[in-house]
Amino acid sequence: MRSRYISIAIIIVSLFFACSESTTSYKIGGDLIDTNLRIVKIDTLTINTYTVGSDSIALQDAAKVLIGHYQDDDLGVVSSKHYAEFETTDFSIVQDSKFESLSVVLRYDGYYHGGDTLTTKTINVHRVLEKIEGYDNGSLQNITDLEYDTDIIGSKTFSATAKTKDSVMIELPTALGQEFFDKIKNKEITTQLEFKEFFNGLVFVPTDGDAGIIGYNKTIEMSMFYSLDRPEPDTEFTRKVFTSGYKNYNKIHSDRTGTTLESLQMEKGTYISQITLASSETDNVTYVQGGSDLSTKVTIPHLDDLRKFGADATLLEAKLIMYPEVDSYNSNDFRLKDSLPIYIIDNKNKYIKQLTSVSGAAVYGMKRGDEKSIEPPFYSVDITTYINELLTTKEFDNNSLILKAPATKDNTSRIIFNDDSKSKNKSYLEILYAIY
Amino acid sequence: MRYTRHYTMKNNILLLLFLAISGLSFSQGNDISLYSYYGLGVENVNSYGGYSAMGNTGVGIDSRYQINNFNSSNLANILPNSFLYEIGANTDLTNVSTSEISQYIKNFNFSHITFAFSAGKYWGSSFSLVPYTKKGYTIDLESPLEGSTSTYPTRVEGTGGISKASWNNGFKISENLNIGLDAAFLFGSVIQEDRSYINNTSIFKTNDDRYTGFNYGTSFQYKTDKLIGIRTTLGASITFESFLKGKQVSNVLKSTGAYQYYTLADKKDIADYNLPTRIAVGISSQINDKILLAADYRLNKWSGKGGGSVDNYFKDQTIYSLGMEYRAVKQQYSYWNRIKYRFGMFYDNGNLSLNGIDIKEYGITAGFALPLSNENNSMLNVSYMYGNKGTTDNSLMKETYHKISINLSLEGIWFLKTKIF
Repeated sequence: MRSRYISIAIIIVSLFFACSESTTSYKIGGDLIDTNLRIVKIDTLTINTYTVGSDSIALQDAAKVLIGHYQDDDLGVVSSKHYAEFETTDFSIVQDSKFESLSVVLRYDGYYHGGDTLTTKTINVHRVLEKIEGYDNGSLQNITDLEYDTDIIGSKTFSATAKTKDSVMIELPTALGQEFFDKIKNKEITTQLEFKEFFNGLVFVPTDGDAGIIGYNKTIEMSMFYSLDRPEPDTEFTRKVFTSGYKNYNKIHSDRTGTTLESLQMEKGTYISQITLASSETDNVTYVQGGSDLSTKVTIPHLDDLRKFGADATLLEAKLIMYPEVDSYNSNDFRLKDSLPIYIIDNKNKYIKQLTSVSGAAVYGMKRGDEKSIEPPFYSVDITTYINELLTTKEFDNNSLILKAPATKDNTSRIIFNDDSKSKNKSYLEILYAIY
Repeated sequence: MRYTRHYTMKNNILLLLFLAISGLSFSQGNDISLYSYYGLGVENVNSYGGYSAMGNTGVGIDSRYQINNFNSSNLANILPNSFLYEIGANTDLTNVSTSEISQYIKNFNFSHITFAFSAGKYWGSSFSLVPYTKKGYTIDLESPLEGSTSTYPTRVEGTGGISKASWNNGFKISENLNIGLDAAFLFGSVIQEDRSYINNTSIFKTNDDRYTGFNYGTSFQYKTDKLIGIRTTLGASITFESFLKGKQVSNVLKSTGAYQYYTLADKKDIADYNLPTRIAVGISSQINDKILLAADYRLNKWSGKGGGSVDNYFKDQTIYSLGMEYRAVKQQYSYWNRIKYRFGMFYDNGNLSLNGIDIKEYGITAGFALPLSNENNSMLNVSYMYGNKGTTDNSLMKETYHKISINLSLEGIWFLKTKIF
């Protein structure tokens, strides 16, 4: 019987010891342990980069109004006009009233790009002669150029700095205002449709010069002032506001004459086919530009080299490291965007889809570092999913990647990327491969 | 009386099974030893019975009341109708130190379950189940990132082990000479898990190496009263070289953030695992009524063995052990005087040579055997071992351990009909 008690004692003791186990790890001389995994970093795979022009930016729903003109050393003359249709909600005017004035107001939104901030800026206003068509279905693109009256019906010259929280008011002709007033008062115009039949809208055109491109609030107000017909001391002014922002767009244009990108010149509003310019043809750099949509295309011609690792290997990570040319940015008016969208395109440069990560979220080229620091900033793009698809499916073979400027319809920012042949700050592809 | 004994025996078997199961299940995930990384893991070298307290001797010890796992020819000594069964477990507190750190780990291990019986006048037989080798380690490495000057962390973890089911037989050839024949089936799997982390990605490889195979051995014991003291026993055993067939099941799991995918799920044959020839010779002498002395010498021909080219760490292993058993006076009926006291020591030059250094182990042992019954030879054996293994030189690891082994060595009388009247 004694053995039973002792047995029980052993069980209890053993349970006590069993419960107190812990897992501890040791760092010891690595040469004694063979791991079954190896990770290799490859950053010598060739990447070919190209500048691609696109004539198919949909222009609707721009988030801001861009007007201006500047001389870009690398990209030529960049300018932006703004087309706007106007609307109001109420077409009624008290009968015993009389017209006073008509004007438009543009409010700064803080955006500026290029040019010399000290140079005075001039905006000329013209009447648009055609209706803005194709706005809602996306067919309004940067090749579209609407005709407008050559007569300047309003003009303003002003100086503005980046920090201005002010607005620009431009007087419009009394005759035009009087015409609006009479037609509404006489019930000739009672609906939005009738108003638009009569008035196609305005275009805001910058004058030539290096004044820079300024951004304004999406909505432009056109105000018509009129007064009730009363004896002099009691005169009461009333304002009717027409607003833009329903149908309006920025027409951004680059004149690349004399630059390395001259062959990407738009002619009569369209690019000469889908030309791509290899970085070797453009001083070993490629371009990304908002507004006139220059993009940088990236191909990886020798990806098959990775197959030398055999079947028992897998891609862990692929990162595209793109260095902007150091002289091409500064921390003032040529700031680098924090992120750039990246797309997969076919061999005809047609968009297939935006690059996404394994989670399905859009992948962006993310800026690392800062313009002000000694180490130059670069963009890091996680293209692991793309390389994975290239390695596993044949159908991707003719595809490539394209880095675009963010928000091309209301942004004129640009980036100049070094290619992989530069001796300093060259762009490259970094691959982590696991072999097991 | 016999009824009661029978009843007790049945209960003891249940207890033994419970202990075995709890021992097997709780011993998972232990940090056995860094040295278990090599080959199939650390070998379980415990003697059965109380012999582990005698420096793990046994080749030359004969006993009719204890199962001797180091010399199966001894099984022929089991008395007719006698049934021996035994279970053992051990626990250790080990100080593990490298040149940088020093820490304590605890382990608990089931060490064996066995039973033996007399199968005839000249034949004794035993069956046993032993965790033969064990792996348990967690090692963090800074792996060099090839193609760069940086590194990435890798954690290498090992678990699993090989179990051994043995059927051993001892035959009495003459009054003084026994021979033994052993057969064992070895089975189990040893698992290495490697996890590497780099940036947001990790890769995790599991290699599960599953082995099965047989090994065979033979042994003898020869008794004489002419050599030293009252009686001297000479013994020797050989376990023949054997090969375990291996299959490897591999998985590779790649993780990026919360997303995981298997990039490999493979099962393939791997090289046979080559277990060495083991030769052991031993001698024991009953000097007088009180003192038994024993000495063993073992040679395990590990050089060039193991699982292929990777295991070139192995070298031939030599183990020397000495043991002594003392009891107060023979035929004393006081409980305390029936307690046996045991002492021993051992030196093992190791089967591993790492960074040019042999991983040696040496230790001292002490223990006692508590009788559990007046009617039979059941004993509770408690052994303590204090040992050292390895060194902190050349980036190696030193283990200093206190190990307590407990085993229940029980005797029942088999094949007796229960008599109520």
